[in-house]
Amino acid sequence: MAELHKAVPTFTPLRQKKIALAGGELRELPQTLKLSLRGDAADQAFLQAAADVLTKAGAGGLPIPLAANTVSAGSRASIFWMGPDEWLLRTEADALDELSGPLSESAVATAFEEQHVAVVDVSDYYTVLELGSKHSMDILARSCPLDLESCFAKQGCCAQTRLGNAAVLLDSDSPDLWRIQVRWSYAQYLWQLLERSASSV
Amino acid sequence: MFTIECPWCGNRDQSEFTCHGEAHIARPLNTESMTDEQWGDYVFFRKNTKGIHYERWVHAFGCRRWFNAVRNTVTDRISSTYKPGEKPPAN
Repeated sequence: MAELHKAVPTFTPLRQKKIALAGGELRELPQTLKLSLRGDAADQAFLQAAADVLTKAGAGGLPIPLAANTVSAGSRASIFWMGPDEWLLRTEADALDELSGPLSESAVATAFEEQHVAVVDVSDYYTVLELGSKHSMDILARSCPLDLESCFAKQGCCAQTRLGNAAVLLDSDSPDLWRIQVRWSYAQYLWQLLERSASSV
Repeated sequence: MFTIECPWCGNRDQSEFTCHGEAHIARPLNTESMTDEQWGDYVFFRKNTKGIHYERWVHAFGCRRWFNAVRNTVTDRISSTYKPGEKPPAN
């Protein structure tokens, strides 16, 4: 099989822009490694192989989250539930250099050997914005139909929803600090949307 | 707010979903011997029900999964949703 070389881009669509806004700041996080992983949640061999490849890569023993809208968050990488048979592995920016080798698309695909599993590098498909403000919830609520308060009442929650017309993946450390993953081509749109929302809180 | 129950994500706002028409239309098995009229019926013609209607929906802004919904086309009330492959409820 021809080996497709997919390097993680060194830049991000907004070039890590940062601005101060109502009660805090909005910034684009540095590039991270993102892998889309699809497999059968009922297959123990798949779950075991996924856990093994993460442990071996030094990303910590993160379990694959099986409950909808939850995330297994570690200090170096997180795994998000994206669907009943789909997960997203995202490294922290400072762990990118170290993990991009052992967690590359081909390395992870090899770990699943003959299993019926799909591994796709989507690092250049998404970017992540970080909104840190005491008005974060209000800013997001301007364009989000989801009840953030009840949806993120517990630790370890994430949610795919929409902000304006952009499909986003939200996760948060506290009610004030949110990470918003969005498609590369929607980054500029979302940035302007958040900037505008923040101007009226 | 009009919410729809995604079989995986739970209750979400309707603006996260898109509807894709009538559900449970089985592809015919005798495709080689079908007439143009029979093909036309299969491809283009729908029941256009007034009342209980079985529909296919996608949670487009959420988990991006397909599922089926039972919607009353008169009141717009969705009485239940279920995963593909599951038996449609009797109502």
